[in-house]
Amino acid sequence: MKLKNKTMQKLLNKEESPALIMVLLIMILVTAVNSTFVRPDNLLDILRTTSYNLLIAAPLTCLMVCGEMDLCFGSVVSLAGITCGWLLQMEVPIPFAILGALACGFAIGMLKAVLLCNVGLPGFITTLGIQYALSGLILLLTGGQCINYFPESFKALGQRGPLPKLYWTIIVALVITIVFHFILSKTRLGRSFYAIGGNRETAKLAGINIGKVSMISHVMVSVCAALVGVFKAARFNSAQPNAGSGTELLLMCGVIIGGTGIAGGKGTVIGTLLGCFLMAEIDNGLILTRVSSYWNNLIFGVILILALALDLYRQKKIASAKE
Amino acid sequence: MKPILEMKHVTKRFPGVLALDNVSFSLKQGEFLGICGENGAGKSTLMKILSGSYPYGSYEGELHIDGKPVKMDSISTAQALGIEMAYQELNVMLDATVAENLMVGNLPGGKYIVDFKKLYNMTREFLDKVSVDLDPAQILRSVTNSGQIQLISILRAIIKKPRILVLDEPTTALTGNEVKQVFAILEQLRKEGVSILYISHKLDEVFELCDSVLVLRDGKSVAFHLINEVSQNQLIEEMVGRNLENQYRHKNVSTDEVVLSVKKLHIPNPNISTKNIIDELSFEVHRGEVFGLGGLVGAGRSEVLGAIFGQLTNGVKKIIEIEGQEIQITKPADAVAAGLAFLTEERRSSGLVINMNIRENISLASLKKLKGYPAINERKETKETGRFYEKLRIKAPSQETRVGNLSGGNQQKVVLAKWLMTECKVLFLDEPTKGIDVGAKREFYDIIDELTQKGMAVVLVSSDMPEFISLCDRCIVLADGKAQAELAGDEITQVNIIKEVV
Ligand SMILES: Nc1ncnc2c1ncn2[C@@H]1O[C@H](COP(=O)(O)OP(=O)(O)OP(=O)(O)O)[C@@H](O)[C@H]1O
Ligand SMILES: [Mg+2]
Repeated sequence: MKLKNKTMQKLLNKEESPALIMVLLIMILVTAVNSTFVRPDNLLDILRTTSYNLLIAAPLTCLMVCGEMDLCFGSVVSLAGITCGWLLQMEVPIPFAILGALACGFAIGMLKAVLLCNVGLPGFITTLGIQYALSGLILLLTGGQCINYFPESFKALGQRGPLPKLYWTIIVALVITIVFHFILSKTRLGRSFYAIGGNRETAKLAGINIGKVSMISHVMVSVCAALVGVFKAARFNSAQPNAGSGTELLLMCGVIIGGTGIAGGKGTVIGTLLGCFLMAEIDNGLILTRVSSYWNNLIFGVILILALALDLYRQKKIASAKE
Repeated sequence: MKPILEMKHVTKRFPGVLALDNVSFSLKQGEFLGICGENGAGKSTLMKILSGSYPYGSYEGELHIDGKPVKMDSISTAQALGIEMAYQELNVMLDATVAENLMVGNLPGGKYIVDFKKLYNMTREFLDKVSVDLDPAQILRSVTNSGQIQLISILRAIIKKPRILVLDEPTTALTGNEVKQVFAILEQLRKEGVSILYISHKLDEVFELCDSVLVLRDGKSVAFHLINEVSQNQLIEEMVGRNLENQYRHKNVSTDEVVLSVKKLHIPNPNISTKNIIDELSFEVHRGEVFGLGGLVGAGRSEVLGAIFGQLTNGVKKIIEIEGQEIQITKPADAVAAGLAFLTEERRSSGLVINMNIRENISLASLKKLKGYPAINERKETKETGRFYEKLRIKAPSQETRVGNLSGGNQQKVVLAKWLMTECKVLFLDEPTKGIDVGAKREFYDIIDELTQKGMAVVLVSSDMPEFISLCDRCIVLADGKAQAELAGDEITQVNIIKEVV
């Protein structure tokens, strides 16, 4: 009894627990209907979907912990994919084409950071503005056309892996997740993110260079978004002008389901991992249970609200817990 | 006489903390009861139960008003019974007027419309009655003076004409004269038969004001005395559970070497363009010295610190030299890089990160020192923060406790620990011992001695006169934007300081 209480208490104290509970719940529900769900190859499929989201959501967690806002990484995904595609068509060697795409992400990240952190424009509207501007720019540059047919070895990035079904994307995403988990939980930079998001004034007086730290968070997200652009181009053998559009709010939801607050100061990368896995799990589960995909948005919305409600319940429970 | 209030066998638990353990006491009409105890003893918690902040059901025990049991299920229930509380953590509406702040909850007028004329008139009448000089229509944000803001939060409770008034450390931001003013108002209430529960770490005040005193320690009530049957020393011993050695004496270890030199500091007044907060102020601080900025609340002492540190920038002009070298400080990060550190007056808004735990808060300004590569060296961190955690007796289940769950005084200790750990060249302290108990104050003074012996300099602002006088090696007294006098050693006395400001 005592032990059970202790573990309950531990679970209550973790902000990731609502996401974890829901991941397990859906796993049980779907498996009850269709047991192929928990087969390794299906789980790897889910992980593959997760990894595209996770690559951005992991640095996005840091950015949101820092109390910043970014609504333009989707268009960075598209633009980086296109850039990479062009470079490949000009027969630039693959590593340089990828570097070019990343540089493009870096540049946009810097631009965004300067506008927000140096000029002091408000994050929500400014990044939304950048998103519109970039998607317009992409349409102008490409005329709305995809860039297709890449070299085999480039395609392998998105379509193969060291083992069948264990795609390179999954491996890279997991490595990046671990890196950001490490940054956020163990390093001085991570501590600064929490401090700035938690109390800007306190952080400032402690000598933390707020401008620089928030800048880093913005650049990290954009560079990772560019990487996703490259992977998507490789996977579909096609760089599409709308490869990343509409993912901004979705990913933010994933991060929030994982326990990160919109106001900053709290959140973990592990939570985000769970949140992203949950989203992919829902997609996959709907297919396996043969529920019409029209249900998708409805269910996703309900889950998002449920996660927030669970988190509120958890916090109330902590506040009023007796012994 | 029958008691008007009885609290019986009250027990309150937080996760991992027994905040109150079977506490009982009673209060008569017109009685002023002091409540004393170390930081985290449970004083605020006990009073929050009375005021309905912790509603019936979240604790065990009973409350009787006029001999009848009551279920205090919300703040409004308590207010309906005539119980008002001024909380330890000031929570005023900065963007509302003085009048709105005072009358919030019962603004005059119809259901939807506020009758501002009536509001201002009523407020002015009240302010005149208690002879407080404030403009009812003034927006609170433009009242830069933290003492007046604290005064407003006290008046806000008094204006509702309570039968039982709870004051939780009401004088932490007030200086001598303002305290006198508040006491005069309270004496008036005594004549009207109001009962008061008075929490304070300033024992002088308790002895001056109260008829009796209740001592809490670790959530238990350990003693109750009529005030004329107990001595300060006995009270302290009961509070801390150990004997504090006699009077603290600060050792003057200041040298001739100038470590910080401030020249031609100029701070304009943001509200009145013709009047400056500080005019051409210059001073020097020596290695190992405790240098005081004296003066009344509102003399610009905090502003001087903020302006030097780069927190306050609007229109500020200054020349700052550190160890003889001129440096540009445009933002706090510059000051920190140059070896300065600044403990501000407001722990909630600029001292703590509420969501972080004790360890992370203490180490926040010293992370450079703890650099393992590439991660923070957590073992070293825990060890170094632990030293202050223990020395200052921060009361919590462990260093991993979220600071939001600490009592007010323990939060202040965390902020103190953060700055003491930085081992900077010059440490700015603005009201460092606000809300801290006597025992921890002593430990803090010891740490200051230890650090000044190592060569650190301190610039001190403190409204706690005895503290200011005993700590300072040298001080200047600010009034009307200028240094009116410089005092050193034995010249620093209450009389001499007051003489300069009036
Ligand atoms: N919300 C909370 N969650 C967990 N613990 C709490 C909470 N509020 C108070 N405590 C704990 O309860 C104990 C009593 O706190 P309380 O605020 O009553 O102390 P206090 O006597 O008012 O101290 P101080 O002089 O520092 O104001 C402390 O150990 C504190 O850590
Ligand atoms: Mg208290």
